[in-house]
Amino acid sequence: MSVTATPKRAIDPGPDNVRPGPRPSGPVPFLHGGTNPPPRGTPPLPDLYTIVVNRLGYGPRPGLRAEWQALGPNDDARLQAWLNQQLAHGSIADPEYDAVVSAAGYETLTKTRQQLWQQYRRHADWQVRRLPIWECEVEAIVRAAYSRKQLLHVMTEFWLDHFSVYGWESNTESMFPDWVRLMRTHCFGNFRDFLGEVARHTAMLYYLDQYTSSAPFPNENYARELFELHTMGSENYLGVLDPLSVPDDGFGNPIGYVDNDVYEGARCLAGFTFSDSIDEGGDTGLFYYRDDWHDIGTKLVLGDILNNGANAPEADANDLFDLLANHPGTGRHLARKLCTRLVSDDPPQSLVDAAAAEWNAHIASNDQIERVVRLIVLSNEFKTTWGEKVKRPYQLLAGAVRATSYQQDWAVDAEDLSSLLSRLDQTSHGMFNWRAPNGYPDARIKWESTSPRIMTWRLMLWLTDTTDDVSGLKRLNAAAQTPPGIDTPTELADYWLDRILDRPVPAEDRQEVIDFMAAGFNPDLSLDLSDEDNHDRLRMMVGLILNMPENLMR
Amino acid sequence: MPVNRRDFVCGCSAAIAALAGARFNSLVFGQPNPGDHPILVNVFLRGGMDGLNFMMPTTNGDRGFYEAARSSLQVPVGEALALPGGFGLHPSADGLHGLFQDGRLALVHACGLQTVQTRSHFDAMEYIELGTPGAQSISTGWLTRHLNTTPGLPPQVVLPSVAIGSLEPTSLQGSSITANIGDIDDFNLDQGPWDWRSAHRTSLRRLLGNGSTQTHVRALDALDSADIIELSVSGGYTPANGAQYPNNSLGDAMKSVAQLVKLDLGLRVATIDFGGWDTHNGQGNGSGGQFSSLVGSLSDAMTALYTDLDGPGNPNDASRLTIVVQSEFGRRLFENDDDGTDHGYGNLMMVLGKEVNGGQLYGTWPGLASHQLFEGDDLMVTTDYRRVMSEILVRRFGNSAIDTVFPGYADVYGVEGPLGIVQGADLPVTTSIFSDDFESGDVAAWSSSTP
Repeated sequence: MSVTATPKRAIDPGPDNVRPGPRPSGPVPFLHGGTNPPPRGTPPLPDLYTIVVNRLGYGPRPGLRAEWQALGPNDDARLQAWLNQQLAHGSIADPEYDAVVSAAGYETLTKTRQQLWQQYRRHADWQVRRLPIWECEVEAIVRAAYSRKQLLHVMTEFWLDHFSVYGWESNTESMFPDWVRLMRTHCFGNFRDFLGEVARHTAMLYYLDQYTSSAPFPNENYARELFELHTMGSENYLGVLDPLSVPDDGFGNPIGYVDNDVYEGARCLAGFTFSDSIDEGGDTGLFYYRDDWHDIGTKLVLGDILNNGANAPEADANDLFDLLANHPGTGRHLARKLCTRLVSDDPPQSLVDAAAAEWNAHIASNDQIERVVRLIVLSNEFKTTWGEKVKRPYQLLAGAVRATSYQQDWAVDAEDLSSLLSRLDQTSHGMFNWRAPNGYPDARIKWESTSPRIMTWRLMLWLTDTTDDVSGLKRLNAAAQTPPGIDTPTELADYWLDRILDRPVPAEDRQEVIDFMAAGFNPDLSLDLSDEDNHDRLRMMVGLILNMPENLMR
Repeated sequence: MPVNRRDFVCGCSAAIAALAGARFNSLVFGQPNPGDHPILVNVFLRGGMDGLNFMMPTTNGDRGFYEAARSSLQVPVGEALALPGGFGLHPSADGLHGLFQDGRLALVHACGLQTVQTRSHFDAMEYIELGTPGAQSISTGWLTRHLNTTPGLPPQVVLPSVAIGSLEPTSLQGSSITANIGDIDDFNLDQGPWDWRSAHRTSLRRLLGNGSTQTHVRALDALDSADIIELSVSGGYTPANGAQYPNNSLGDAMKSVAQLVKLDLGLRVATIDFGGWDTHNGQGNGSGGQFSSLVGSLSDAMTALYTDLDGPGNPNDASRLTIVVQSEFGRRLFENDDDGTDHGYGNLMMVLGKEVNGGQLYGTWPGLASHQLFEGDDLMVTTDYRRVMSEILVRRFGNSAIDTVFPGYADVYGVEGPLGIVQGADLPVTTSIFSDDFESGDVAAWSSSTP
């Protein structure tokens, strides 16, 4: 591979400067009407409970605040206790989630990788082949809505985005339950272990074309994204540059990677595939290493010479994973992404540095990721940041189900479920539906653009008006969900604001919701909620609260 | 004359006021000749389109290098649609080939990021769409800055820019006047209990106005966009002149652009994303395969849009239109072992419109001999993509503020003068027309209000 020494990117070895320039969290240097820009206000900081349930979970549920209060004498103690509980997720009983899943009758979610391959991937009927991803799609909503293991799922969602795989094609759709399980299994564990498992999973091997890659001209698709997206990040990509010209960071690591590292990485990985024939390991869909596809020559990766030679199965790839996982750039990249997910789109550098230091200090620990999450969640920055991010459509959907007790049959073939899911697709946040390997954006600027905003508002309003054909009842049965004795517009507005937002709202917002419900009548007159028109109005009021800005922030 | 952007970049509230005028007399308020202004449609092929199989050497001296590098992926000479210079067009691009022969389509090969090399999709797209190759720190996209420097844009325009697609592209980042539209027929709030929809909308609008956080402001922009589309778009849309859009998302997107052009809402810029071009395996060669069907969709959709706007009923629209097609990079000359191609460098750009000097090849073909390739592997870049775009901005929009749209870019006319792809007058290119704080001011104001 010939490379020329013509650096076209400025190289700055400082750890703070090898990432892209800071993105302003506010994308809007232009005006909204008029000639004077309105002041861009910062929303007031709510209590810690609100931050925790909306940023480390999918939103409030009735009873959750009382549970929080019982966790300790003050917010710091409660956060500690809550975090300890959530990290010990194996001990959390999850009866409501279990009951919903059991009623839905999912059949593929507990199947092994080989079972998924042989019973579904190899099935003649395309609907059977696709059943696993359909079940994953619905179960993701059920889990966010009903599971008490909220942080586990928040982190699973993070890793599904980080190692993004498009779920709706032939060799991924059937394997997806095992893929999601892999994310869930490793989401608080050791990154190096995680990386090795991801690289050997059928879904990833297929999605980024690694499964066909062989010497002497390996397919470099997976190798490139392994460097750029999964580990070191594009902020550590130096472009097309002579690898021997890359400066050292003072600790024996090259300060970044170059194209030659990607090519050499692809050589290290050649032979990584899955077994789908007799001459491999049988038609199992399991990981298979084909030594005859491997390139036994010497490789130069990140300044290291790999000379494993022949008869060293997977050694080159394992060395590659070690080099990548141990590189400090990987720690910085992942630390920034975690802070971005859990705190704000432009997290303070001090927090990113602290998280990266924790990451790198525990590079070999089994609880490496857990330690970093703990550091971020217990940081002052976490506790004092609010509204710097917006909820993505999936979170808004799960949050609506949580707060309103939306009654849906979650079996994959249930009435109206495909309608709900296609409306979620319209928001651009359908499940496992992002085609590019960079995953769904974690930036408010994208989710605040008009299409996802309008389509999410539509989805919320649709939820307020669907009817279960069997019972004849509205699925969002606001009348039945309202306690007896609460029946004036003022009481109804206060009750549902509190139920959905679970915190005080500005007085003018409260008044607007009351006015909506009163519709010009005295807001302290009782309404008969068994009256169809009144119930329509009440459900639309619930829709209004779901759609209001206070419910969009996290 | 220095222009303060605040005079012409309006928020949607003003646009709503303008819409009332548009509804009553089909003229956009403050805009005497609604049919005269140019429209730029930027089609971005996501994933790295293989320009060497879109337009390939057929009978010239590079055919041998091409065939040697692509033993299984080569488009046979007999199938390629003939172009000048011993080149050919992919057989599925028959619609585009017809437009080329009619003098409407210009082809510029070996374009791209001339000043920086990256084989990362995401870096390359950000560089191109931010308009700052090599840097990603600017907060606005190049099309946003073009809109803000377009001379003669009236103070009130209903819908100056749309991004057709699910999420707003980076090229229009930072524009509060852009409507990002997925499905135009569903771009409304017609959901929930029927009798209360209007009241919900009224209350939602007030709630959005109750606060000044970014969440409030951006959501209000979205609601305003829905107002515009709902009030303007009614019923189905019937294309003119027998135009037949392909029945897929790209066809729907092109059709939405035509619909919005004809509504006379003042549209200046539209973007369309078309993905699926990252053909690392099973790419296919001539008339079959994944690449062929992508080329066919693109060709059919562009042909339909042009036809729709070019009939006897609306002679103005096609002459206002400039469609420019680009991708983040080309692909390697050499096929890989999976019948695919990996990430490369130089690539084809296409420019379509009635005021395009079509039927010609532009730029400099760098050749495919080993020493002519970038890194010995990829088609070299000989034309900076900004040069093509700048010429369109200058000649079609009269926008000479190139240094604002593409900061630091000075090579608009090259050594040999303009490329001459589109018709229009050349202007002295200014360094910056803004007397006030274009980048720093508002961002600083915004930053200071957020800890």
